[in-house]
Amino acid sequence: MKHKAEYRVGVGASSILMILVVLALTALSLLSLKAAQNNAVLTDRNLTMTVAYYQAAADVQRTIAAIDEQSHQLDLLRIEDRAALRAALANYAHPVSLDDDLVFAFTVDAGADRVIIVEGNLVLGDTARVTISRHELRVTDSFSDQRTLNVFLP
Amino acid sequence: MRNHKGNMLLVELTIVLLFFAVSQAIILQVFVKAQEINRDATLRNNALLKIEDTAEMLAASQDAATTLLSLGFVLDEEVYTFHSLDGFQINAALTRLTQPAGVLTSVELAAYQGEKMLFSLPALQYRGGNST
Repeated sequence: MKHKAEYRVGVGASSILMILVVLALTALSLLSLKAAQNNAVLTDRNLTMTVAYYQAAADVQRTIAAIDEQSHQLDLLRIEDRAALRAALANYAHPVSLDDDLVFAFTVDAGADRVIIVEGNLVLGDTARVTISRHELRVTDSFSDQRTLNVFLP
Repeated sequence: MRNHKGNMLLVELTIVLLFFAVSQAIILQVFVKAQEINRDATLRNNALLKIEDTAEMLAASQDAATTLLSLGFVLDEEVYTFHSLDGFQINAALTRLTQPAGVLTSVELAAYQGEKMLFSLPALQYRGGNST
């Protein structure tokens, strides 16, 4: 007499299912933790770069104020005063160049290989005034595949 | 014999359930940690956006004090304060340096979460005396 094979779900099946569920949840939780950490790293990087930019922009305003103040005290129609101003500007924390047409230029480091380039000119009148013609944030080095952004590293 | 088998099944099920419970407790903690990290990052991002917005508005404004008030800041003991519903606070300390050639307006913007300072950045604007 031939016995018919009997299949039924035992305890082993539910145990395996439970292990699989635990493994799946573990993987999901670790992935979500990693995603959150990467998000935090990107936020911090964005924060650092933004703060560095605004500090550089503040330095630009301080330098412009100093240039205006310095040129205000001098008579720029006189050659000697122009030379004195040129010498003073070259000694600033962010050295300023001044040409014969009273066009000045300087750069301020804005962090993360960026600089703010500022150009302008002194307008002669009753008092010398500062006019800004360029205020540009520029990346100093060109892109290369050696410097890719790795979002998985802090 | 049948009774012994039933007891073994009960012990096995209890062990599996315990293992499952402990695993879930650990996994739940990981999820909570991830949520906390995300919440902190979102808060910092929102504070940064608000401070950037304020700094840009100040750079374009004629009068820093009026601009701060129009952006929802409240003057409290010489410091302008903004309370966000997102859970951060921004303090703005306004100083003016008047020199013969012009006025240098400086606003130090600082973001706080409770008592803890998150970050700060300066917003400066120089205006020449009789032209810009």
